Amino acid sequence: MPAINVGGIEIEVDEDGFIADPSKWNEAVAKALAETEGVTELTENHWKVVNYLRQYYQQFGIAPMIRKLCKETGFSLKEIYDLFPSGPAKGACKIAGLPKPTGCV
Amino acid sequence: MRKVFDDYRVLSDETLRPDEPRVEKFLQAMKKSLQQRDNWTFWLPYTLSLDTCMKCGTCAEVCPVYLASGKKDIYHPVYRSDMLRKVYKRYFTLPGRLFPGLVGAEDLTEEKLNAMAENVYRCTICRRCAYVCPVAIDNGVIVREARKIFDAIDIAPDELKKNGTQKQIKFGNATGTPANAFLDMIEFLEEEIEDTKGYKVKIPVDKEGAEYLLMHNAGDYLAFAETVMGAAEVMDAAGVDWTLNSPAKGVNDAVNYGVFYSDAEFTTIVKAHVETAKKLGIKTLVVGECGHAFEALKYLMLRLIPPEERPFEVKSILELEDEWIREGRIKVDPEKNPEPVTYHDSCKLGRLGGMYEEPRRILKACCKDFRELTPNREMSICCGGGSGFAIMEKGDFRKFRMETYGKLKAEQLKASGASIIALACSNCKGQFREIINYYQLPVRFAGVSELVANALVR
Repeated sequence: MPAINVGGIEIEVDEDGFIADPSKWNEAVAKALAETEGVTELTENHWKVVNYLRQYYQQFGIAPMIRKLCKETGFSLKEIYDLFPSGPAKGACKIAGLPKPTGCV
Repeated sequence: MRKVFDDYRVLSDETLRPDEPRVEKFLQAMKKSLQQRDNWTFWLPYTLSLDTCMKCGTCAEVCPVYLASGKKDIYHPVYRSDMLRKVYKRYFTLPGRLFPGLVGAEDLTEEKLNAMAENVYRCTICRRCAYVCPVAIDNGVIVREARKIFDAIDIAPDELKKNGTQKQIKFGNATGTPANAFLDMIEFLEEEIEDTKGYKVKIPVDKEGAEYLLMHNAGDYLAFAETVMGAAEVMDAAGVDWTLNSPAKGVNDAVNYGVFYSDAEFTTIVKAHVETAKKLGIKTLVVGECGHAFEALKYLMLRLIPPEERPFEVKSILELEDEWIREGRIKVDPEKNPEPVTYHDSCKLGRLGGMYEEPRRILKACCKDFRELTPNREMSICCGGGSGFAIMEKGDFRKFRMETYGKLKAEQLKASGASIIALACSNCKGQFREIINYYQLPVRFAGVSELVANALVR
């Protein structure tokens, strides 16, 4: 299985680059995952999205609706794509250490 | 992942196992596929298509992948069908066994197996080729039968199987949405409708004995919520007795990825859909905006489930919206959608499902400036999202989708001058979301129900 290097530690990721074991996520892992997404710096805005995603996922066991993500973080979908070029599902969820969303999303 | 066919890879090495011996098992599974008793569902068009191709090339002239790729040989529809056909001739026909060279029969090698496994996931099974074939060969059926054989030897994309049909049976939906999350989503959507439209719509969930059970592609709640909201507003405006269902009451996801690659998975899921509808005691199952779900529940189900075991009707939400607008059950004002709108005929709703005029009547009633894409209807060009392609991203596959199907749709979209493209299928929405981004088009997409809801006069 492919892996990313986080400060000398190998963290396993799946074929799509999502963390294989979500329990291994931390801020350093987030930064490393962000690099794979072409996001060189995680700003306050990035963290706002990441924290909301994690909080929702921990509560409900699934990523939030994109529309709800936009409402709760105050970002438009376009702004989310500006922050996370691969978008909310493939970009933000990846950096936030959520498993890859499945189904037609 | 190394190259086994072209510059893209849909199947991971873990799934394809490109260095393991699989030819023997493939041939055994193929043998079964050629026996009507074991594989009755599409046996006749399958075997006739394998036997009768005249190599006239008419199909290639309409294949989006072949044309957009610059007529690359490997993407010719007959090249793809021949990958299976040459093996069929070699092992399952007398001339092919005796004089292979004379009849275009070839041995199956592990490398050819790898290439075939990938190539069958370059065609969306849009069946534009089948529509024009002078002898009714269906390359799409051949591709699907090949996918079934691969599935029988455990080669199927994760997106369709492990994280698709199998996940749907386990969780009630392919997105893995548990009941409490679902209810949270519904509550949010009710708030959103009130916020944006200024009126309250109550969205019923799990109502037993309702007349209409509306089932969406579960992905729509997550990615295309405006379609779900629009549909709720329309049902409410029509004043009918309707309900959604949660995963607590069975399957609440209209999808059936078995349509793409496996009769066995298809049957498991359609049976779960039927059980869910029966248990809720509803009269009409309304399929939300999802192409293959419509195919599965409106048509394919007819062949597998006897009428007495499916005591309910099946309709597309488009059929209902068309009926209700025409009979005046809902009133709409086209001035409320002033931008130029065009419509993409999804392969499963149009070419397969025969629903061309319903969406057009709806859109003409709800939009001030409706324009056609050219070509359209039977000759509509597949957007490239079908067959689950819209959710396949491994191995640079998004680039393949954008540079073949996507390129043609972008050209059509630009030529229409529309700023909104109306779509009635989730895979199409996912694909167009990418096409619009990739080609930087000044267009947005909208669900048909979303546009109807915008036009409602309450």
